[in-house]
Amino acid sequence: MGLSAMHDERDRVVEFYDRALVGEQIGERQFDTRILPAKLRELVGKYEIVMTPGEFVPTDLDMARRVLEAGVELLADLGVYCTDTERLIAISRDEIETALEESPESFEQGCGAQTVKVRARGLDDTRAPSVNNGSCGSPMSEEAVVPALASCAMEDIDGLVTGYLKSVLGRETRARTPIELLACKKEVIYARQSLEIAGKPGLSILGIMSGGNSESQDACTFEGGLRASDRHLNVLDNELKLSFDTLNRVLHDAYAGTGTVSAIAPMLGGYCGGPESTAICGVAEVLASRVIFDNQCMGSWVESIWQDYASPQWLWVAGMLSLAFVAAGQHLVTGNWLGGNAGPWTAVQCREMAAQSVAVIACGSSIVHGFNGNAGTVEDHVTGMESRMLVEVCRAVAGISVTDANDIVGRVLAGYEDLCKPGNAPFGKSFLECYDADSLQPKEEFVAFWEAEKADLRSCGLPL
Amino acid sequence: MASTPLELLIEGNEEEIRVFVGKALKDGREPAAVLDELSDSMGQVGAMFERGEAFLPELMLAGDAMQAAVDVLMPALADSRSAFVSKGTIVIGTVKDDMHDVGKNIVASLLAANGFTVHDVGRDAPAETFIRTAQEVQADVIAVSTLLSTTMNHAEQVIAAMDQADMPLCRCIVGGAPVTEQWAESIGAHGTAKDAPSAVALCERLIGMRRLEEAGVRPMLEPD
Repeated sequence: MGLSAMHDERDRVVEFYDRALVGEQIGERQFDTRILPAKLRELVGKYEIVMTPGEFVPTDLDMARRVLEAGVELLADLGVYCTDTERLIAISRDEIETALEESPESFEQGCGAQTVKVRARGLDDTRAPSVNNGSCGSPMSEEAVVPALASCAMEDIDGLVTGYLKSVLGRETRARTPIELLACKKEVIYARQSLEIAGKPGLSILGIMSGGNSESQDACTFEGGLRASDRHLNVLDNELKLSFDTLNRVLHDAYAGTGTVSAIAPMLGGYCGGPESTAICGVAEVLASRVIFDNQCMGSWVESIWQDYASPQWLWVAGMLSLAFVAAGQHLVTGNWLGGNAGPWTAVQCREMAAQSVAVIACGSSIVHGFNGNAGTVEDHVTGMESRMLVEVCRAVAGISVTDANDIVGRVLAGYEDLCKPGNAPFGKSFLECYDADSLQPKEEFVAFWEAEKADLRSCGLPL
Repeated sequence: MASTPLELLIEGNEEEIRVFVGKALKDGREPAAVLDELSDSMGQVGAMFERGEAFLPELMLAGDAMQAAVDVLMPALADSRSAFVSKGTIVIGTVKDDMHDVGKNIVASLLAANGFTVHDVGRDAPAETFIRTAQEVQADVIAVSTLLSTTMNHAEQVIAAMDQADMPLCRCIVGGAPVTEQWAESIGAHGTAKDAPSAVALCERLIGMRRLEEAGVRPMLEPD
């Protein structure tokens, strides 16, 4: 053998870089407003995708399978748009099918005593889903971040999801500054400190939220930073788009050996349009992240221009992003990001969380990557009690059919529809208002509140 | 059957809407009346978007088609001495280091649908781009979008640059997920809006108040 470069699987992203240089050139506005929407409209008609009005959880399994077929066709026909070259990165049907076939049915996250196996779930699957939780991208102060995350880690979660550090060493986190890079490092350091406090040093950490570009994101892998047993986020842009910066991140993770989770976020009302086309686009984005990022684990969030995170259309799309794969017998480890408009220690937040959890778990979601309150915008509105609630609800509802889930979600949200909307949802309380910061225990009234809410949710049909 | 202006706008059919305008003028219709019809249709597109009956692509395409129609109408409007009355001129963009532009595009398109003249400086736009464009087009309002908390300081820089450039008639509004009313006030912005329809209302209010001030009318304070 000569001195020519040897094949290295870690270099696989270079293939997509090459395609981004030679693919069909299209203006970005043309792609956003004409090419993608027209293709989505065509596929909605061709595959007869129709959301039944008022349905919260998709119950038509044949249609779910057609959503997957439509998503495959969308990705195979269009590919992914590269914003740097304004060209399409072509992806073949064979590549999509191979990526699905080669999807691992399970993987491990965490290390030592906190190693957990995350398994692909199926329909009516009584096996409990995995549940990550934490501050989930919400802004955190340096004062509250360690105790708040420790309070989450003390609950029975399978992984800790970090938030965005609003300041570091008293300095505000600003893009493209040393403080942004430092915030990414401190985000992991504080997360690991919180795991030590909780007595679970091996629990998997999922981040990073404090940096907006690959330079700062990649700063999270260092001695004492993210480990191979942790998970780093890979993000596609809205819709079906990526930049070289995204590929930088993928390449870095491949060489750092860090596990990855995708964060795709098709937007209802945005370039995707309505729920049917948003579901198709979301499925295509899951497939794209599998093909390009080679992620073991998926993570789908449904963004909405109306921020209607408890509406029938939001829940239907969120459920469909798992059901499309599960109904077709695919063994992909599907996952969902959850979140609502209300803040901690409010009945509305309990309803938002319960409705979303029931919907996605019944649809076969393998892992929930956390629930953030206040639409992820309010500082320190994170407590361990949300982790307790999420774990209890997600595990209790495993095995519920999509039809039963639809009925349950309807009862859970009855009378709460308007209260869940932005502007109406209650603000809730901060970590320091909800917890004793020294003992890291929730206030007794908070625990009693959840017990009362659980009783109400039981009356809605949740087997809590 | 010929398509209506509303249908042409929704389709973003720039070619056909130019034909529609040309034919209307050839048939002897008053340019101002044609503009009114198009503006009404554009308003309907905005209303459909707010009701969830049309989505962002339709809103953006309608804005592009409306601009194509106005370009054809402009010479005729000038000849007929009819004034093209825009509700105001807005310069809009996403701040430096922030690549998110969906929210900004929604606000820009809805402003255009509601009769404003909109100049979009895109995403990752430095403060000087906002200011230079605003000076060139004599903007009434600069609308600054920031989705990331880490880029909020760039909105402050736009306002600081406005102060330095001495633009007393121009107003600045800020928006985006991390933006609060308190923060907007603290950096000297003239306002913020929680969503696109509120941003349209805010621009109408700010420009209306400024025009009253220019006319020497002191707006009455509303009783608490």
